[in-house]
Amino acid sequence: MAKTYDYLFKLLLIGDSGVGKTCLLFRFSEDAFNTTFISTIGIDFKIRTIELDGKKIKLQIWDTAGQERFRTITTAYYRGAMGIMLVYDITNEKSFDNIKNWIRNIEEHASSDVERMILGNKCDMNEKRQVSKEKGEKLAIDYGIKFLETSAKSSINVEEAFFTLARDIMTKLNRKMNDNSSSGAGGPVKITENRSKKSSFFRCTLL
Amino acid sequence: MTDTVFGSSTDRWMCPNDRAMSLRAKVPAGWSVRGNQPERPRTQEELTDEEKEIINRVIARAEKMEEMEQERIGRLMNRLEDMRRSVAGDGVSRCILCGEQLGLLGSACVVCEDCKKNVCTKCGIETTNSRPHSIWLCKICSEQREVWKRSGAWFFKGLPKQVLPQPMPVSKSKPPQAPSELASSEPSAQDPKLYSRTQSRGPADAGLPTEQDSYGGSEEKRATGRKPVKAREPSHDAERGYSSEEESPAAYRGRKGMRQRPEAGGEAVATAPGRGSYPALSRKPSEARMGPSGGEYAGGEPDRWEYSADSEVSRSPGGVKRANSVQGSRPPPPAASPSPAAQPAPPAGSRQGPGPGGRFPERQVSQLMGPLQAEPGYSAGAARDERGGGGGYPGAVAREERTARQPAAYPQAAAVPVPPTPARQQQPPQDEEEDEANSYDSDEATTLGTLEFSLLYDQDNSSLQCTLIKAKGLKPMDSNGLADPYVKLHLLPGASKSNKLRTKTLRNTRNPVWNETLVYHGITDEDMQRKTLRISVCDEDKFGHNEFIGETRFSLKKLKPNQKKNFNICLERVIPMKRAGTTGSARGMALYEEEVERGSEVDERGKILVSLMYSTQQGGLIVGIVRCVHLAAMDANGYSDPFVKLWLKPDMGKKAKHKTQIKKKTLNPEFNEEFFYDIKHSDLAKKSLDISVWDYDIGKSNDYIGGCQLGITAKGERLKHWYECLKNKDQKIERWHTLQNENHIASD
Repeated sequence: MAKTYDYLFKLLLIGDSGVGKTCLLFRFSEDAFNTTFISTIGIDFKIRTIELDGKKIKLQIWDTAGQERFRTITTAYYRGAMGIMLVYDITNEKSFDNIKNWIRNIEEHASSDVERMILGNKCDMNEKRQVSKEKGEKLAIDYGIKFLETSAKSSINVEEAFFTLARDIMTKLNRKMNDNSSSGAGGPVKITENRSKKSSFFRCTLL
Repeated sequence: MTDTVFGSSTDRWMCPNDRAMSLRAKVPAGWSVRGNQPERPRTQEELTDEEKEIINRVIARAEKMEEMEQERIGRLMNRLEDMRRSVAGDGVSRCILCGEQLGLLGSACVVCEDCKKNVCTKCGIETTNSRPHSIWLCKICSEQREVWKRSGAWFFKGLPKQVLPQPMPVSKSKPPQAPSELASSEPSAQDPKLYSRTQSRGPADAGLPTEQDSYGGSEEKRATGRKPVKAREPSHDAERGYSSEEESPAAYRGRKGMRQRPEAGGEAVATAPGRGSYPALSRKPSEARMGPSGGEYAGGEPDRWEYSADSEVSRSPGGVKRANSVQGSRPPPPAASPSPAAQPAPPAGSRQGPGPGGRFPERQVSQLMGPLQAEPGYSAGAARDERGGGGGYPGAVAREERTARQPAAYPQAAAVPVPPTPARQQQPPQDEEEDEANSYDSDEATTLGTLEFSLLYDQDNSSLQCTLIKAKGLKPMDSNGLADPYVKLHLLPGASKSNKLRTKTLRNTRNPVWNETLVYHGITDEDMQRKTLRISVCDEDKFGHNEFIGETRFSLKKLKPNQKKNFNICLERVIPMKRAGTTGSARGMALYEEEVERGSEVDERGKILVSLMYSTQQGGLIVGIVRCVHLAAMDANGYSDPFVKLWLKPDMGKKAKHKTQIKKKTLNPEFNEEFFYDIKHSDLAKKSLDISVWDYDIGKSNDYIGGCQLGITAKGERLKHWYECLKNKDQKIERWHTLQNENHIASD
């Protein structure tokens, strides 16, 4: 029998091919890193159970292929996601530019309530950096999305990123289920308010 | 996998083949932010079979996980429902939960925020949750919220929002689109696949389109005639007056929506004509596949989870689509063959039993549509729309449709109990001589596979040991051409869950080797004379829609005590017939329905294994409650939470009573507890020991399952046991006793 858990959150990683989605997930789920690049075929997922506020949360994290030819398959998974990580590579400007497209993709295919987060990965490779942190932050603010620079290789901010996203979902859950008891439960989500509330530990990267 | 891809608007259902290609050509490569153009299929076509297989494996893995998740949600739902059932008050002058008098003289009263019923402060829960003022919720509504949180329904606005795409067709191994393979894997259109379902549900249920078989398939898991937990839930709510006050349009729509949604709809029709607006917390996978927008339910509070007519209309095709997609992932239904003659027969290829006749055309279409999985959804949806009276679905039409559909479906399901189908007739009575059965051969039997097992009746220990050795050449049930087989055993007749045993599931094999021994305890000579062992091989499936592969039955009276007998038989599909004419009994096959009737006369409450010993050292009687078997199920989930009470009567005061621990959700509890009565041997003869088995219920009085009295005034086995105990001091004597209901005890 599986371990018991309180909530199941479904997360999704998207972003251009080669930005390190799989590595982020690998780091988060197995705390390991592999330098060889193996392109993800279609989709994959990993599980990790975390604890937040005394609740056991099982994270099912879907990893998607960045390559366009898998787009059909990968977009099919947007719908089921409660949280989506948008990942770009700080050493690859193109991947950063494409974040806009990925966001558009989310808007088109994902649930409107989905929590989002932008990650600039490979921040250990500062010498090859093409996208400044400020640029990333600016983009995130424009969209009202949280942002973190991460490194799967050096294990920087990976835990923080997933925990933040999970916490945001948790916050939304509690607000939805506890606060509006008689009004419609599916009211618009104020992401900004949400942002400031819980994750003070990383607010500095945001503002 | 396409269910969400063809997202949003008018041309979403168009066939992508040609148009997509042309559009695709115009779209810049790379970032073709797709509008409504379904250019996807083409990209998909570029994938190699290897890639598709890898992806399918991931999907299969996800489905397994989802299955577990569904089970978990099921448990949550069960618990919630249990609470609902134990409601005691009216919510006005008496606390809705405990029934305590409210008001001046009674307990303090608060109003539940969600259901607006009055509850006492003990049954209410105060929450503040970042609101300026705190609110009260009754325990049920509080639990309800918890279920919404835990199931993910809070996000998707309905249970369970699993959005797994279906496996992709792999050209080399994937059967569904190859008609030739079709024919071979599913040779007979009459193949009565509906078997497993029919035995647990009535014909009316069988009328539902596809989904009900999801019940049927998983019948041993949850439905078993007792209560298909989830989908029926709404009806309970309605009965309870929970929130069905108004048949508001929203509620109505909701109901209709359920109707369109194959599974839940069917269930609702069958069980709850008057159901209101309670959320249909269906955890059916069929909708699990659809996008969240599709998953809406009529809300727990109508305004709360209400969804719009649009979303509903748009969702119904989605539901159907998913239903089809399930089929797509299985060996193809024979219905795909264009012959009209095949249509009335059950669509053997899918896990489902037969849908109403109207479904077949849809299915055919979908089959013809080829590998693009979205198309089946479309065609089915469209066909259904027509039947349902178009997108608007005026309520009356929906109703009409419902009634119309039921009769239509009936004959098929009814075909099960009533006339022997051709398939059945062709089948020689395999159990008649099980030795010959080894060499028995037929098209169908060979397709289903063979099973090797051995049986041993251990008379001394009152046990029947069934060793499931292996199966060979099982019919492929999954899209990968394999199956996830397990074996389950039933003793007929009898309460289905109480006497069910199963092996573990072996994954992805058609030649499973279980080597597992399953033991029935408490089997008496009488049982051996009377009972039939049904051994069925099933395919465990995603979402727990387990699918019946084949079975064999063995009349236990042919088994000689303490002699192991080996079998190697071909599996067959048996349709339980009410009246099989003369053949039935002549063949020694316990025909299910008949047996059930006979069994019910006996009114089996179960049996209990009790040990008695008078200890001279300790100067008292030691009563051991070892285990119970085949207890009657008292809870909605088809199980009981049994415990045993002992009472040494008369005149023993407080010390006279003992009880065991409660064993949760089982019909075959093992207690292994001993209790001591400090009593002189001479006094003991005048006493009698009252043993009763109860089903523990939270919040209401426990249900009496059955009991028996041992003592000098008892009769038969019960007297004998007592007597032997008195006679043989310091000797532990174990005996099985049949539980009887109260009347018997009283009359004893």
